[in-house]
Amino acid sequence: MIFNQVTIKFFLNTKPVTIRAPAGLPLVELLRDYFHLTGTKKGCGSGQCGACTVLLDGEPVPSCLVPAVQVSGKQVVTIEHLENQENLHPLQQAFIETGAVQCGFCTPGMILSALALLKRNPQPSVELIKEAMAGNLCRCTGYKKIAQGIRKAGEMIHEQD
Amino acid sequence: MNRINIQRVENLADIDTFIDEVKQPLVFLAGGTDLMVYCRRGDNPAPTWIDISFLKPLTEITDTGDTISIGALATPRQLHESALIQKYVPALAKAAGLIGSPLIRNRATIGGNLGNASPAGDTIPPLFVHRAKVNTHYKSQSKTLEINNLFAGPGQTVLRPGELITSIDVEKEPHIIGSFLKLGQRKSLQIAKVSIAVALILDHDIVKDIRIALGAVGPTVFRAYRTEALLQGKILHAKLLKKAQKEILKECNPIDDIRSTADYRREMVPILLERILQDEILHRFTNF
Repeated sequence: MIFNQVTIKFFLNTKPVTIRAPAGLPLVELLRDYFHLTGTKKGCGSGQCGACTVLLDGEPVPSCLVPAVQVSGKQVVTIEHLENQENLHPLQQAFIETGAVQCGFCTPGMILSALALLKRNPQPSVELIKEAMAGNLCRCTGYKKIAQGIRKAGEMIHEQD
Repeated sequence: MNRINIQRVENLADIDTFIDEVKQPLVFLAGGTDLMVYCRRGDNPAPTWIDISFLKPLTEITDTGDTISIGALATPRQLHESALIQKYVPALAKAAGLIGSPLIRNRATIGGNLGNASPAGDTIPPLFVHRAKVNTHYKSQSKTLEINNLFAGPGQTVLRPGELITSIDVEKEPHIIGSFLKLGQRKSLQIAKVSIAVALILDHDIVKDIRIALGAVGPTVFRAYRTEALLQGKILHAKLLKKAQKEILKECNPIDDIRSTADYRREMVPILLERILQDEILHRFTNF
């Protein structure tokens, strides 16, 4: 499919950016191919696996289903945003400590969904974690350590404050 | 080579301008959770996509006094979390929380779910049982349809190209209770093999004004009118339920398809009826 080219102005990891791209280009491709931010992964391409999760105005979305033109004026946060800070984010630290990362492919999506969850609910129960993370699939870990990592991160954040 | 032009509109009048200028088939782009999937698959529904996602008034859920007005761009997440929807359109609040996944629920829209017109669409049976009215806009004209009259067949609405669903109205019924159940392959990210919605009013233990709608077991969602008539004005007990289960089976017309078989669907429809009446209504909404 060939889409019309449009100029898109939005905020990428809090920085204002302007880019010219096909209007219907999936956001995941805009991020990876135009901005060279390859932390966001391409998995199923149909919004089901969650590997492509980014935050759009704070909400986790499947970036493979977001047409580029629709991010106009919005805040897009990718996993690289956590890399830009001085220290590891508690989620990143907790994932390492609990062994929640194996191949790492699902991890950026997991972290961003979890980031949004912890903002809404700083100390979620395991049940709530399972519900909130239902859109992020992992073929390696069996999810248990990911849930533990999220709980641990919640506690770490709570101790910081 | 397939070319697609995405045109954003800032207001409803812009759509009318485009319909006149662009003498080509067009579709509306809201959250993109259906369109982007079709596009990736190589099935382009139309060469022009009108991006309506920036029409802010269509994102609102409001109490107009007599009705709850749901903007066509309301997301499943909004619907699930809305106190108004939980109170006045409870079957929809439940269904909205079961669509796709949390990520998809942040992007999908109720208008898109209706426009896509899948008989397995999760918002549809709830809107049937809550007797929703659908408002549309076409060439400066507004129209209202009963939800039962919106669908012509699987994947087909009666809407003309360029006719946009703008909002859905549900009359406020003070003591309404309702729920929705979906049977699928897994707990999340599942399209219904069978779905059922119920809305009713309970007068002590007498069933008043019960409405039942089934999804994925017919060419469109439909109301199980004969089953409703059996239960109307009665007290729900085991023998009556068995009768209702027999009747509802006669009302549905499932097929074999990619998701399930007609046989399995026929087995599960009566079971879902029992589950929704027992577990969802009697146990959740009453003291029984």
